[in-house]
Amino acid sequence: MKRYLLLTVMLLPIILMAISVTASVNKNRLSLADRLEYSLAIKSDSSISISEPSPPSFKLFSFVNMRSSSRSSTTLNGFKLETQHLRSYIYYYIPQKEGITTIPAQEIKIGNKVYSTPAITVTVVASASNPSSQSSPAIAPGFGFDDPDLPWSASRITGSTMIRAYPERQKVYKGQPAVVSYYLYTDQMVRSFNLEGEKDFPGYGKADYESPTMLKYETVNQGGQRLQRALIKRIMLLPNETGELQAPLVQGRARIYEFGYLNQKVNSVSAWLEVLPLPKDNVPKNFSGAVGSFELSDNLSTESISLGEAITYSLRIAGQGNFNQFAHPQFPESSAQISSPMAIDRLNAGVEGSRTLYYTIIPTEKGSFTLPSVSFSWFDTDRGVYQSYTSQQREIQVKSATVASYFSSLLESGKPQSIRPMLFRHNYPTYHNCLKQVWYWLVIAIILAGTIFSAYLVWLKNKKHRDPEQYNQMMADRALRKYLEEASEAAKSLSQEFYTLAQNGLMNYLSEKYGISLRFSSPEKIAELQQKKIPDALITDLTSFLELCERQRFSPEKRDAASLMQDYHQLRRIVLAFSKKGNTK
Amino acid sequence: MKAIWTILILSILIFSPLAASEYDELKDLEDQGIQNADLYYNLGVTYWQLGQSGMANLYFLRALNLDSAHKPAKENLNYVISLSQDRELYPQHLFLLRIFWEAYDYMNLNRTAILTLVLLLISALSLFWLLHYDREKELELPSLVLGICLFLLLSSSTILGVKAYRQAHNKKAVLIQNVAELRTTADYKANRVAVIHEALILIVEESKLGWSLVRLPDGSSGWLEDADLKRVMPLGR
Repeated sequence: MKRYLLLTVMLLPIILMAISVTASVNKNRLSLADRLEYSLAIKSDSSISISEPSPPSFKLFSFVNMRSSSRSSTTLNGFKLETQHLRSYIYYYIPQKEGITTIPAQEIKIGNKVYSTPAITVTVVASASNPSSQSSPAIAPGFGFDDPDLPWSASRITGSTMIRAYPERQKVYKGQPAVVSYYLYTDQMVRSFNLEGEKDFPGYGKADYESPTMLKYETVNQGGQRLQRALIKRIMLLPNETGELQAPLVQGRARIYEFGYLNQKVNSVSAWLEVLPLPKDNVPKNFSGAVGSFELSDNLSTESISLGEAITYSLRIAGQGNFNQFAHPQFPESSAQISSPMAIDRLNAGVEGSRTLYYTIIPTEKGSFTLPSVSFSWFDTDRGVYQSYTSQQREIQVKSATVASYFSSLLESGKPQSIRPMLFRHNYPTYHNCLKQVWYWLVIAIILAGTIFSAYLVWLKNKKHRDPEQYNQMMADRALRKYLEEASEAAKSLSQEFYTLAQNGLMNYLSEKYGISLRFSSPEKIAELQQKKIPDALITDLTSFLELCERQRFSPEKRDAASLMQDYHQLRRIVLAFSKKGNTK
Repeated sequence: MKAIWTILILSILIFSPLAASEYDELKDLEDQGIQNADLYYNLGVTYWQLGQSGMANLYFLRALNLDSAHKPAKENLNYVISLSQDRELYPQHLFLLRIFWEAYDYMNLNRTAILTLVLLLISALSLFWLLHYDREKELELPSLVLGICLFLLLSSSTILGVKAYRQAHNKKAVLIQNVAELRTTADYKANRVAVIHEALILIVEESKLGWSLVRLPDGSSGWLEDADLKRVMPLGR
């Protein structure tokens, strides 16, 4: 028990120690031109030992700086001495944009206890005056810029910051590019510079030439004063009027550091150039407005090609000048098709570097083709005179086109190209699809018919070779169909006309087969047959059949059906026998 | 790149009046129903000079549809593609494959038709040779010749059939608007698949209700409004 009592007595000062932590802002509603002060105040009866709280971060504001202070006061209250310890932390913020934001509750750990502050809501509204102007910020009296304790108090800002423009040349010709450099001069700690605008004047076109991403200072003497200088911009002016020309004015904000940051508006000082007119004497005929200092060279991809292939001629213009203000040189009329040039630029600000013009040339005839010269004129600003470049004429050998020339592009895929020019055509015949042409299918039909006929002949040949008997029978049947069809029909209908038709058909067959004239009488034809080395037995059978036919033609007695069919078969045997003999014409 | 486009625009401004008159003449011929690869090619060049790269590509493709061996049209098509914003979408072929496609294109429809005719004749003669070949001798040589001829004839006929079909049913189209959005379905509210730019060559796979399902050169597909594209073979031709 004594032990607990002793412990309580020892801890009593701590238990009784009164600590309060409060948070406040200088304004709950402030404009963009104002600063926000966020204060944390810690009051204690005893000494305070805490680490510095980190500045809270919240939306719409950026942290600028902080300061802390500590005060102690002792008062006699009756017979008791009371000591009050105050530790304050003040955080300074700059509003970035309008809106409402809340500063979150802060937790301050003192000893083993954590004290919380309430969250504070702050509203930012647009400033009535220039929001970015912070040379006279609205700070609450007593704790603002007038507060001598503040490190960036206005009274402490000293020195000067300015922008000066320096043209590369004071005198330039009309159309000649002129570089103007803008330097920031200062004897302050300008940490950054933000370009906000340029004011232009008549008489020029312009392009950005160089824009450094950071300030690189160099020390210079300016009017006996030692200053820091940094390039902030270089622009390229292209004068299009003669006379006095004022360079653009630039303006921006310098972020100056003097124990804190301050934005200061800075405008450039006026700079002037004198623009001279181009000489009117000795102007080349093909001068198209090029002004500058150029070097020209040309190249031809090949000097030997096949008809239908394209050659690339390139003209390179390098140097400094008004690249975007002159026309490209054109080839004079020639027998070849020459395209308009395709330009590939490697330029800085459109005025410095090189431009390569690619011409696609397609010869239209085989043989030797002379590529005409092409010329380009410009006003040389270094020498102050007009200059001309004329390319040499080139001989190109054009060979006949081959199938391989169609595939030449496979090996040239990496080369720069331009659009191929139009084709000269007097007329445009309508496209004909071969598959829709009658002649095409007629030729196919003829080929197929010929093939089938050829195959048939071979089939016949093979048949004769493999089975002569059947072949002869087939040929006899064919002869019968051709010459004795009517006789066969008569025999089948048991008509007596059979004999007349059989005699005529048989003699026609034999006349055709052996080339015997039809004007001969039957005995004469038989005599002819005998000379053809026909077997005697066959001649005898033929003669007997012909005599039978002769008799029956004039006989009043008709043959019966059996005899007639027997005679028909006799006719077939005779034809078959002659078929076996083959064609012996 | 910016400078190139500046020059391009300048040249367009210079050549536009000239190109416009030639355009009228060529367009009149086309309106008369003349189908000619050179006419389409010249129209393509004219459209290019007028600054319409989509229409230029369309007419180069029309020229190639009639005559796949039209070298100037092919070169200009490749040139326009190389300048287009969507050039990365086109697949890069291996060298041997490029040789094959070059050979395939060199044999345009009419050349393939004539080759097929010649091969048919040679095959018929080979057959005739084989049939009339001396039966006492070995038949390997005429059989081999006939086999080769028939193989070539079959290949040529197949290619001819494919070419004829593809010419009659060419599904290629070209984007003629500056920029268009490809969507997952045929609906304005559908999710966007890709943003594509003028002169891109597309394959139309399906059409309905004023929308077309198109396939891009990289294989991806989506729906596009019909008004944004023009077909190489207009519907109903």
